[in-house]
Amino acid sequence: MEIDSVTLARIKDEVKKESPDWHLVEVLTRGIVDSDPNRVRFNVDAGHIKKLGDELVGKQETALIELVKNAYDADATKVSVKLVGADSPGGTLIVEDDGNGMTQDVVRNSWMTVSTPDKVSEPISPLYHRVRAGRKGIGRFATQRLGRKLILETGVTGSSTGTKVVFDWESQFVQGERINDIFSQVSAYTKPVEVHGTRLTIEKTSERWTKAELDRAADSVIFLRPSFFSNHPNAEETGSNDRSQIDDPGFEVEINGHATKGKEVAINFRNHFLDHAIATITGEINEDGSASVTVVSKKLELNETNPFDDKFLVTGPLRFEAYYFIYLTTTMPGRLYKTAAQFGREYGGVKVYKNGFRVLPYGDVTDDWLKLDVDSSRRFLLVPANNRNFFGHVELTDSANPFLEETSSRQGLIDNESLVELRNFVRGGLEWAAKRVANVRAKKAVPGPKRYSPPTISRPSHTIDQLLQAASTAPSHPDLSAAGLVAVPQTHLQALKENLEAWEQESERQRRASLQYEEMLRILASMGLAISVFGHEIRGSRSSILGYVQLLRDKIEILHDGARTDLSEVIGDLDSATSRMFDIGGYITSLMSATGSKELKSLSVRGAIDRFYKQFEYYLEKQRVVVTVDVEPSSLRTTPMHASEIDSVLLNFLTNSLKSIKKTGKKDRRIRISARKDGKYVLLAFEDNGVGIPPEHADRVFEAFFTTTTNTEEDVLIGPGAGLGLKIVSDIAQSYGGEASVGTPTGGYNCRIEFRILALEDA
Amino acid sequence: MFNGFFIDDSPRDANLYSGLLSEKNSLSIRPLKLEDITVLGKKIISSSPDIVAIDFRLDENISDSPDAIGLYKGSTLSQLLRDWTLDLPAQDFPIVLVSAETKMRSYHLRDQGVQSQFDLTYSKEQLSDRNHEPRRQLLALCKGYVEIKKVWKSLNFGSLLNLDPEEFDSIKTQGLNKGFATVVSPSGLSRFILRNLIERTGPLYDLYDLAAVLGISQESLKLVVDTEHIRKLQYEGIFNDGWSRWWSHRVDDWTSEQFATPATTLPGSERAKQLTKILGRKVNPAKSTWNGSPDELFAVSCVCCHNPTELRHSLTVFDGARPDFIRSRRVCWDCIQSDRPSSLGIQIDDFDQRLVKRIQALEKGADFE
Repeated sequence: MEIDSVTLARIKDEVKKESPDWHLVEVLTRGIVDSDPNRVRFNVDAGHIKKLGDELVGKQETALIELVKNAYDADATKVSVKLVGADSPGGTLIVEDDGNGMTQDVVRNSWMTVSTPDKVSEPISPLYHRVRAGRKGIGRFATQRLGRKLILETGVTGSSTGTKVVFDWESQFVQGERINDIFSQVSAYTKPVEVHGTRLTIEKTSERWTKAELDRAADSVIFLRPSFFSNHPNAEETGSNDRSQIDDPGFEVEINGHATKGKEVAINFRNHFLDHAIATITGEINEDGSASVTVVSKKLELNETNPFDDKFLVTGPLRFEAYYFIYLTTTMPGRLYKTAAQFGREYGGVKVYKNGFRVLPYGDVTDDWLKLDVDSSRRFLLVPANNRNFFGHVELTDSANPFLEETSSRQGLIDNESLVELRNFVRGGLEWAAKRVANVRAKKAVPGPKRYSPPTISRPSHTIDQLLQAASTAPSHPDLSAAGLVAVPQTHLQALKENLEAWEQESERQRRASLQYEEMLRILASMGLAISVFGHEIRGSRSSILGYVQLLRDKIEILHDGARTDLSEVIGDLDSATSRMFDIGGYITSLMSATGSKELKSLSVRGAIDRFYKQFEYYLEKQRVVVTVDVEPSSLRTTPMHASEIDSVLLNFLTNSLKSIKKTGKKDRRIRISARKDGKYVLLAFEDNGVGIPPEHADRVFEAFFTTTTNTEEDVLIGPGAGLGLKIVSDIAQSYGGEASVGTPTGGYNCRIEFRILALEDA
Repeated sequence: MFNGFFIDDSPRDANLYSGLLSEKNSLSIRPLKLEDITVLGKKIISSSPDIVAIDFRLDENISDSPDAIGLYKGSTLSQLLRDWTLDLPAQDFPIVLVSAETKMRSYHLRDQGVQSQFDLTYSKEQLSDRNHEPRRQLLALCKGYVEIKKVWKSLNFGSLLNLDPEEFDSIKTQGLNKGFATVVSPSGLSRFILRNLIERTGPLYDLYDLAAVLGISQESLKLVVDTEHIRKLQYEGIFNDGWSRWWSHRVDDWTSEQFATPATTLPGSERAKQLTKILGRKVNPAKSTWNGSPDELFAVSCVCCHNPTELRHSLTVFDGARPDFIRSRRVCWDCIQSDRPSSLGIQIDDFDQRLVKRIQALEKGADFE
């Protein structure tokens, strides 16, 4: 390499001086190095710093969050964000923390080195062992995104001086200058030895901070850490198995001295809101890619886990949790309903956390990364499953999920196969869980049009609310503003139209269902009236007929022995035949009389079965049916209900059993009535040794007008099948929080129908 | 032979129930056609009946009674008859209500006073069943009225109850004295004795009470009820042919003497053991309806299931008009747990009401902790 002699001489002259200009020496030396014809190297233009700030950090809120994350990484317990005159460009933003701070060496060798942060080599913070959030070493350039000048003041404990560096991004870091040639002024300042931390004063802010932007920043801070979702406000998930020897005291962020909106929201959420979730959903991908999702709902007595058929091989092991909300007055206290729905609109969604810090924009109000909103509006999803219905988070770490990497702009994860898998996993898990909840709720929902509420389609008013909200935050054209108008995107209007159409369809479906139900009620009502009159007449004639039988018995006393004996037998048969009829008449009258009472009362299951059995004891003995009653515990009581309803249930079961037993033609006739406490339910089971229910009918026996009886039975009690009996049983069960189902018969029996309703203590 | 009438607005029912109320060779009840209440009333009084039975609803089958002027109920007719005989004790007679069960229940619920006008009430269903009890009771009633009217001018309550003066004095309470002192007619006295002595537990025990105090099963009681010892305890006063009753003071005294302690302080098993020896017949102890134990201190019969029950496993029934000589009724815990009181229209006393929910929540046989 031929060295330029003039340059070499200048270098020599300069180093001979008492105070050489080392900057000049470096520039000259670099010129010599760069003139090597056999080697080349990159240089960085100073303007690149501006690019790093402007282009890698998308929004100013994101930039601010990056600075907050840096403070967290430095073991700060508190970060204060102050904005002075920032409602227009040119204000001042001060971010100050009580973290470890930096020595001048660290500032010089680490902070001032682009993209080679010590956080990669030391991923865990020294004091509280936090998993560091920033890894790429570009967070510091967020300061450039935020303002034109930065004053960095930092100090460590044990030193009486701190280091102050001033960066004038605007005048120094200009295009055309080499970055190596730009020097920022370092100075020392005195401080108490125990003080530590870093203060960033960003002057001449680039943009104004509107209230909405400040709110968004505050909101982002609320959800900055996944601990928000914990039931323990002080719990801090580090995402690492390593636990600090020193307890992490937590991390607080203040904006403008208080900025407590987030804090209040968080407290309200934890204390008042999350408990009212209808279910919690957790999903997990294991090391081998197998995955499962679990839905737990105390309210619905639901606890199910479903394994995924697919394997998720590129995400790495991860876990998500979500609180699932359905904003109906039937699912949460009325006083909370409106607030909860508001929370849902503002903060709902599934957020993503990487190394313990939020990855934006997943789960933001305008984000729909799981396509929950779009699929709901198109009715691909028919259960309540908009983003607002979920408060969830996915936790990722660099070590476990290396392919789920944040973009440099901090605006999401790199769109790759791994992200697609993550999306499919979370979406699939939430959708399955929401459907399970809907299924259980539908079973528990009270049938009949009056108490029906559509569970699947969001109300048009909600959609309009969303639309108005979106319009209020969207940038508005001055002409429109002047005219008092707002711009509404075409897509939102389309979504509203689709929502209205879906609502209309659902309303029509409900109307048809109501008409059908009404028809069934009309049939039942007319049958009920006829039965009531029949029961009354039967009961009324009972005393007369039995009286005549008795009178006849008295009259034959005068006959001679032989004739008296013969007539006595005939009278005995007449007595027996009529008694059976009167049992039914008496039962119907008592049933109708009990129905008259509108009072709901908790019933003793043992007492109800005993009374029912006594009513038919004589009849069943005549039919040679052996009945076993087994109630355990004896104290078992139903939720408050109409007494006649449990009689209806038992009568339905009895008539079905008798029909079934008669079909077998066998002499050994057995019925077993049992009741048990089954969780929060009373489980009343009716078993018989009749012909049983074919498996293909098991799901249909509870449908209205489903019957297998085609011939009119001659028996006064069991009669023909109208196909409404088990439907009524099922409706009664559902109206008391339970269900009716076909069960597995115990030994010696061929059919078992189970009737579940809430027990008293859990009602 | 006693004679009487049955009045019903349905001629068919009138014939039927007249037959069912009658007892061959001893009680003849004839149907009486419904007509204007005054005419009918006079007809009844002038016939000097030994007994009159009236259906409650006389206003339902008006087509069958074209001569009826105005519609009236059985209670109106009964009140008229009572008014007319009030000052004529020699012409007083028992009046019995006979009506369909449902009607009786609905009217009694609305007007408790209706029942008090009648000596006895029967449902038509009761008369139709194959038992002779109502007829036996009607005969006893007729005989009782004859006795009362015979001694009416020099009425001695003790002798009417077949108690010597000393024994009568021993059972008298302020309430009993006042009750006897306020009767002004034979029917008034009849109703006082029936309502307070025969139909309620106080001076007299019924079969269920007796089993409870003896601490034995009802089946066992049937085996020993005719023994010399028990017969001596029996009530042999007025109306005794119609109802089996035992003087409570005699039973209590006798058992205390035999057991050398009040009966209810001994477990049922011990009482049964001793009674087996005393009566010479094997008797079994009662068993608690709550825990099945024969070792409980049985004291009363449950008003719902009638089984002997112990005080500690029973609650007091509300009785708003209980005189001092009437014992409070109780319901066993088993019936409480099975909701039987409410289905029978029995109300638990407010003082014990607080325990109902706790009993309902207990496992059968368990005690409060």
